[in-house]
Amino acid sequence: MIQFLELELTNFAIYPKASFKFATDPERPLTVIRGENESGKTTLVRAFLWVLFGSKGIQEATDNAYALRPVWVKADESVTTKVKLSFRQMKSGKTVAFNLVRTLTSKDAKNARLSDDKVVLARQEAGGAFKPMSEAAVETLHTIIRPEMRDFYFIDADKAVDFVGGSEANHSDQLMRSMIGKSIRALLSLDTLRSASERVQDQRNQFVRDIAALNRGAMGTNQQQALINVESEIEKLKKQIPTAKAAFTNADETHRLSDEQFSTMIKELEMASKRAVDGKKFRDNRDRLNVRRRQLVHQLAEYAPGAALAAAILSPTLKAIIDRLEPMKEKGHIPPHELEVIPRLIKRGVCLCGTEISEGSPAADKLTAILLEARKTESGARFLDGVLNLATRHKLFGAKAVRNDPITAIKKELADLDPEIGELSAAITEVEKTAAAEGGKQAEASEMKRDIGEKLAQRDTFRDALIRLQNELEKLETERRSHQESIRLAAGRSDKVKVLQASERAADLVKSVVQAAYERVESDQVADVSKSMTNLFSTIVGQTEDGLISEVGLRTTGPASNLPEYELFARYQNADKPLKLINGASRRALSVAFVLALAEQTGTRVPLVTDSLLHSTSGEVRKRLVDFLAKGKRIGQPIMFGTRADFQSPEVRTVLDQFAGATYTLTAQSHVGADVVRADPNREQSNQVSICNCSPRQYCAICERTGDASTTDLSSKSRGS
Amino acid sequence: MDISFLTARQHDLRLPKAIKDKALASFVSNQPIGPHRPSDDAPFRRMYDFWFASILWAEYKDLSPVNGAATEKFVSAGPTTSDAKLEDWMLELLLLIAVHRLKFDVNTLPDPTQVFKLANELAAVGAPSLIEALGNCLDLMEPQLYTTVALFREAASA
Repeated sequence: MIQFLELELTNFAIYPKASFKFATDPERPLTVIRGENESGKTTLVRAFLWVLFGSKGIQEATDNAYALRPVWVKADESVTTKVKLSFRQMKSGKTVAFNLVRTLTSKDAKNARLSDDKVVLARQEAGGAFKPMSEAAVETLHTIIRPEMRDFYFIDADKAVDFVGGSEANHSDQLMRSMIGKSIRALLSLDTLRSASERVQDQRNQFVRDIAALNRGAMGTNQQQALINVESEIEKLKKQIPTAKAAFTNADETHRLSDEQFSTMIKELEMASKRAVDGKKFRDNRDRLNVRRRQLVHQLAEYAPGAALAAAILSPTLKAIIDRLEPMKEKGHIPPHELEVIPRLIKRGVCLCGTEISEGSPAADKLTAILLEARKTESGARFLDGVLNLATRHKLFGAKAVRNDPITAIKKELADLDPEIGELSAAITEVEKTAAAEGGKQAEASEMKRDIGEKLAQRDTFRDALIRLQNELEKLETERRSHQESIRLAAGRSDKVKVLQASERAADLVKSVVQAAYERVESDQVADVSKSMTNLFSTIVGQTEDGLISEVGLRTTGPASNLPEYELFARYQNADKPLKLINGASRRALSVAFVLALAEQTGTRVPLVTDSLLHSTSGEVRKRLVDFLAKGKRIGQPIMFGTRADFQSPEVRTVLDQFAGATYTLTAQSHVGADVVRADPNREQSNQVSICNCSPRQYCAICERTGDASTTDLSSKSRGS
Repeated sequence: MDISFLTARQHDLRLPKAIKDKALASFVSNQPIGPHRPSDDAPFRRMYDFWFASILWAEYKDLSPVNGAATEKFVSAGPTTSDAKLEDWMLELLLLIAVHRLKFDVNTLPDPTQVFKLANELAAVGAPSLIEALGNCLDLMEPQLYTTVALFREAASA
């Protein structure tokens, strides 16, 4: 159960700052707020609605929050409007206090938006401080004080006739049924049962759909056959794979061995290449030695029949020539000196010995004879002189050659060279022999490389074939798993169908139970409300069986299978009396009776705020209404708004004196004049409402100006204080 | 001394046929037809080297020239380009041998024909002796050139 504790308003419409504390004393449960028309009662109800429901509580067509802005604030002035509702919740013997604060800051009248509001729900902690709760808490609050039920919680008597179908002139059974149905379904928890029934029905329908879907996915015989086919293919492949694997393994091993042999051969060829380098060195050395040897051989060959040896060999011959010719030379026969000397002597005419040589002299004749004789052998003498010179030169040359004897040195060098050249040649021969063998290996290596390439290609072919088989196997196994899964799922679906069918049956059963409960609750509670309404109507209106309305109540209408509708009824002489024929006062009484009966029957958990409930009711009816609200403890916290006239009768005042725990009087300038309102020390503007705690029997210096202060039963407060 | 008169005209150089063939086969490196033979095995570069060596060998052995021996020309020495050009020292020594053997004096000038005739006769008698000497000195372990040089060196030192 929720009890309002206090409502604080700041800059709300005509309220600059106001605070209303509500009665919570079980012995004096009534809160009475008195005020003439246009004094701020409905505005106060609007403050309740706004703080509780925000924009949903303000029935405005637009988002404009103009109605909330203080009337004294200029249109272009920024202002913050704030309403704070303090309440407490009592549940399971535990009481928790809450503050619900809603604020709205508007920069100007034009841009005042209801949706710009901010709301905070705070919960009182153990130490007394209030701690803000999450936004979700406000939603939770709305499950208790439901926005759509605001017209029920906050009854405006002028609007309450909607429960009966509206005003007499514009009666609508549809409006009546809508309003009645909404309230009943919410407050009697029929909605809960109905929605439970609907949920069960929905769930049952879902079961049916699921069963249909599962049946659609049921396994066909062809899937089983497909599985058999796939398994057959798998068996075939499994038989092929070992052969393919063996072929690949063999090819791989063959390739590996060939590769190893090839590597060995390559190493050997590398060694051969190294040896070839050595061989080249040998050949170079040998070539160099051979060049030298050729030079030596050529030198030696020169001596075979050469000039020096020839001269030496002919040494005896040459000696003989020299021996023969030298005496001739010594004698002056060679060369023929006479041929040079005698002509000169003859020309001079004197011999070397001093003998005169003149022509015709014997000396001259003798010399001439010598000269003639010499001229005969001149060529021979000159030739032999040349021969002597030649023989002498060759003899000397030959002798020198023998002495120097270069042949021995040449032969020695040749003798040293020859073995070295022989060794090099042998080494070269060996290298060349190896090279020749390795040349064969080179060819063999090329052949082997080509063979390895073929083996590799063959291995790759086997490998590809194996991979293809393995891929095919994997694909088939996946297909097999898919078939198996499908079959398994189908089997599972079969099981699930059974479960769902059982669930469907259970849902049917639950639905019938809920439906029965619903019907029972509906039947019982509607009957109770109806009975209570008749009692209240009789009590409030004082109607009798002999009156124009003998019975009122609530009943269902429409088929039970659909959402039932509810309607109020009135009977006269065991016959229905159309509601549209019921006059204004009775309509109001009927609507109030419905509301109060429903509140009483359901033990409403929230306060009941009534505005102008006593309007247009006679004095006795008013007393009974007030009496019911004050004493009827089966409804929530009653907060009554009314005019001075509503509370004027002595009987009502007597009840209020006894049961009103909190009283307030609202006074506006329209009733007492702006100057009077301004006289209120708490007021700054003339268009602000003035609030006092005067009870319906009391008047203060402000509210007394409303015109009723002259009555004799005024309290001392108004006059004296 | 100018000895060009000796080759002012062509003179045949001759050897007995069998000797010439044997010399060509065994002792001459420059073959008129066929490949060049190694000096080691063929100690005489040209055929007239063998011919001259034969004259030297005959002179060394003091052999008497053979008159009228059956010989065969193997080349001619002379002024034309196709003639063999004997070195001057060879011609000089041939002339000296002729002077020695033919006893030229101031009254008898040498006739080139006589010089080459004597040379061919000495060669004809010296060549077989030389081949025989080489054959006697043959050491299978030593090249023929070395043997020849050793033989002539021995002759020169004698």
